[in-house]
Amino acid sequence: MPLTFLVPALLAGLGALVVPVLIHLRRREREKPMRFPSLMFLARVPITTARRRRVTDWPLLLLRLLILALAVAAFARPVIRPRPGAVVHGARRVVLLMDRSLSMGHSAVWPAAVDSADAIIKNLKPDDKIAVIAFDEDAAVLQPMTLDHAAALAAVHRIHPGARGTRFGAGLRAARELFTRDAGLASGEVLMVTDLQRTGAASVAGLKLPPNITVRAVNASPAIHGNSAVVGVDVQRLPGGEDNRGRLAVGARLASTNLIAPRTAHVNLTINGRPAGTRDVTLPVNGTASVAFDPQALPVGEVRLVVAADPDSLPADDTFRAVVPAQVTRRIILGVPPDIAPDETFYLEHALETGRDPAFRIEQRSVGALDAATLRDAAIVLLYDVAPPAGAAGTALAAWVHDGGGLVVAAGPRLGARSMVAGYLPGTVQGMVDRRDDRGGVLGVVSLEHPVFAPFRGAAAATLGVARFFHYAHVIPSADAQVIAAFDDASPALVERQEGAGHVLLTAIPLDTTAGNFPLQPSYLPFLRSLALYTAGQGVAPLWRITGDGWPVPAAIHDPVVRSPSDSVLRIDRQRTGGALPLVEAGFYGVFDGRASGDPVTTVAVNPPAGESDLGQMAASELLVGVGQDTVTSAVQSAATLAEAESRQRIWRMLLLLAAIALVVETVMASRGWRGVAAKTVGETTEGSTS
Amino acid sequence: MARTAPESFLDPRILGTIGDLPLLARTVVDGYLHGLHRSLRAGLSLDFAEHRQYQPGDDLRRIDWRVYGRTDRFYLKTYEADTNAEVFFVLDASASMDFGSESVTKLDYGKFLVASLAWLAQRQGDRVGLATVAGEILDVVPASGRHLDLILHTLGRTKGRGAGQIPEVFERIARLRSRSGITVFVSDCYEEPAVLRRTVGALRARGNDVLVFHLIDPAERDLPWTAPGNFEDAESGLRMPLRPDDLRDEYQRLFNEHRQALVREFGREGVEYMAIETDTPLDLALRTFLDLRAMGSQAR
Repeated sequence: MPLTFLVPALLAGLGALVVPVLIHLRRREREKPMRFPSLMFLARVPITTARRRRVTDWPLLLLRLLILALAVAAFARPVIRPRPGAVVHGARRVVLLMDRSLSMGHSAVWPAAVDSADAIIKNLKPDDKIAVIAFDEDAAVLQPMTLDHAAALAAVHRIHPGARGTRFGAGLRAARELFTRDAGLASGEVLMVTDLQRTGAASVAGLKLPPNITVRAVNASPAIHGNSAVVGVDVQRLPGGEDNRGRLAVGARLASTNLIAPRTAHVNLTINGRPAGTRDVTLPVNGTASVAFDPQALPVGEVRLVVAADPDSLPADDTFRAVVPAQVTRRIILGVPPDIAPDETFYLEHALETGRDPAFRIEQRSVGALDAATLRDAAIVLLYDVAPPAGAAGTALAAWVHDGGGLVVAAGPRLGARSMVAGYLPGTVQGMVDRRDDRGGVLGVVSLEHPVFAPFRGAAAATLGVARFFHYAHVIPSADAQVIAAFDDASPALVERQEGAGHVLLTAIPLDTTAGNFPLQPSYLPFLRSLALYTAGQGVAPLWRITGDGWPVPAAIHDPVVRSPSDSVLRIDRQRTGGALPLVEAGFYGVFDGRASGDPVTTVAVNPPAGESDLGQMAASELLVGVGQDTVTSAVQSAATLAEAESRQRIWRMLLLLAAIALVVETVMASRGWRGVAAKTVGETTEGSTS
Repeated sequence: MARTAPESFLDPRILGTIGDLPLLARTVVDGYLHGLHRSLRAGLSLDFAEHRQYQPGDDLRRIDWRVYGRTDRFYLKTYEADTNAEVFFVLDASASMDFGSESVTKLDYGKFLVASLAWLAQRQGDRVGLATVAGEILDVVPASGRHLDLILHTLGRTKGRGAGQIPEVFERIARLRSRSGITVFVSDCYEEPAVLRRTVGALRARGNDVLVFHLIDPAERDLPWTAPGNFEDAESGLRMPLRPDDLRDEYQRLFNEHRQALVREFGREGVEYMAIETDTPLDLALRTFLDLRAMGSQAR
């Protein structure tokens, strides 16, 4: 059992051992010299100089050094530490961590990993305990600590590589939990069977392990393996096609790392289960390549794409999936004032109708004609310089907003000339601001964090400041409204208020060319589209998601039932899961409402994280870089463990006792016999005293 | 009957308690002279000696206007009193002097001595000057009948420092002296006797009477320490670990030989030499000085 110290920093105090020696040797140099007028005559005498720089009393010096060393060692708290992996009662306690991330599915790695795990278990002594934990991005205890080695072996053989990423920290935390939860397992050994993929190391930072737990990595992939993978697809809707439904152009991106030589791969495209094209692509040793398939007729509804390359030694990342959502056209009800000029909303309507996924269709209505039937399925209602209606239309609009509808009120000179009363609006309009005398106003403060201004984050923000506004409504925000943007005179330009489940936005930004040049600026179209999408509560849906993500089930699906890629069916409990579906498998998740039969309501494509395809390794010694010692865990050891630890730390008391005994001996030695005779000095000199 | 002054007035241990150097000098001299029962000359002689040409800085009241009326030139009348002896004190203020095993250091004793002698000389009507030296000339007070206060002030702020290097300093002092007179050198004479003789001899050659007071601390004479220790040279800072018991006899022999060599060498040059131990009263020094002063007057 090696001896170690709890406070090793105090061992620096051993440097103090030099002090008595130096004092001893330099004492004559340091003591106050006898000042003498002149050594003129003394220098001529064949003198006997006093001996110096020589230790004259070795026993006393050694005794004093011993006292000092004992005291330092005692305060450094020596402790007898068990051998790494050894436990108090002689048996080992081993936690076997099996990496089951996607990269472990390499044909040369997983068999070696299983063999390594088998060997570890078979080499255990009968009284050694073992637990088995499988981990990727999460960890699961497959076999708690047991003496049943066969059960552990079986647990290992139940593990298969999945489609998720690597997080060493998840496995180590689970192992720590296993050790610290049971007071009897306060010490032990963690053996991690892994391919030491570098991407997994990030999760280790900040992890703390108890000081008596040792971690060792068993590299199941000693050689560097090459790999290629499909890492993404690009989808574009093109006009034309059958019944003018449009066409679908699909491209794919492939990446390769550490290939022995460039190789040619066949890449196949499947659309809704039907082969839709094949391309050959040459993959570099390290790099990326892309392929573009011939455009295909766009099917009706959701489109499930699968791009598959020739399988290599790690086939799990050679297939990539995506879902192109069904093309949807949403309605925007544009409420206009009765006296609107013919081309007043020309720019506004064309800007909103530009774009797909979703596309918007403008329906111009009189505000007084709004009713529940009209509002049903509308994406948003945009009131162009007209106040929300009163009466039944107003009630219908308010109810619709409260239930989740989106309302945008664009205030202009008409609203500025009259009062506007609606409780759910985020503000009121009080007159107009005339900025013609100072070359027009600009947007001064814009909250780029707000989703409406998401297209302008980064360099594009500068484009917002170009537009100039000569007249705009003076908006007074209500107390519970949020000002999203303001003009350079601090007058609010865009304010928002949540009303029930819906959003209401009031903007003073002139949306036509009579009061400014905003419609002529490049920021006009992205602003309006972003405003419409946000108000409609509709973002751009990603074509695929990554394993490990959670997918928020849309509220429109009242009783979500999910069929996983492995064909298992699970019902989502919104109360328990928060309405999120954990995506653990790569493939297509079919989401149904009520029963898992027929066509799914929607489909989610899930792929492994791209980083998992990079098989770059790190050294085993890097695994625990950044891992600290968990003193808290040590502190909550059980009473038995503390007593055991105390017994191993009892050495300091003995050392202190020995130091005390040595001190007594030193006192006796130094004061008795010839050592006790002090040198006698005659004559005290008077120096520097002047009258 | 002549008798010496009460010893209490001249004991260095008592004098060391007097902080005011003028008071000390006056106490010593008055006490000593009182013991002598000897009347001094009443004052300066006013007998005309000669005329000398006016030089800038001279007192206008002393211009002889009659001579001016006759010759149209300025001449000053000088009197016999002005021609009295010039006593110039040289005090060694090197670091070795700043040593004392008793109540006073050699430097303190030297200050008492110079102050007392200067006071005495002033009362005798002599012009007095002072140079303090320590490897170099630290301060110079030109000889004058009115410079006693300045001498006492200079003595009061003199502190021991540096090395002796007496020969180099004395060459410069010899050049400073414009007139012959009495030069009183107070030092611990840590220099080779032959070198000191040659050095002081240069002053003798210019017609100066030279009186050397060799100040010795009792510890220098006896080397009383018994315990081994580091001895540090006060001037050079050199340290030597020594066992005094082992070398006391040899040291005392060398020290006495040095004193004898000084007596011999100074005697050859006609220099009055007097070794004074700092635990002895000052009257011996005063008497020696007066004797020399008397001889000088007769010679002149």
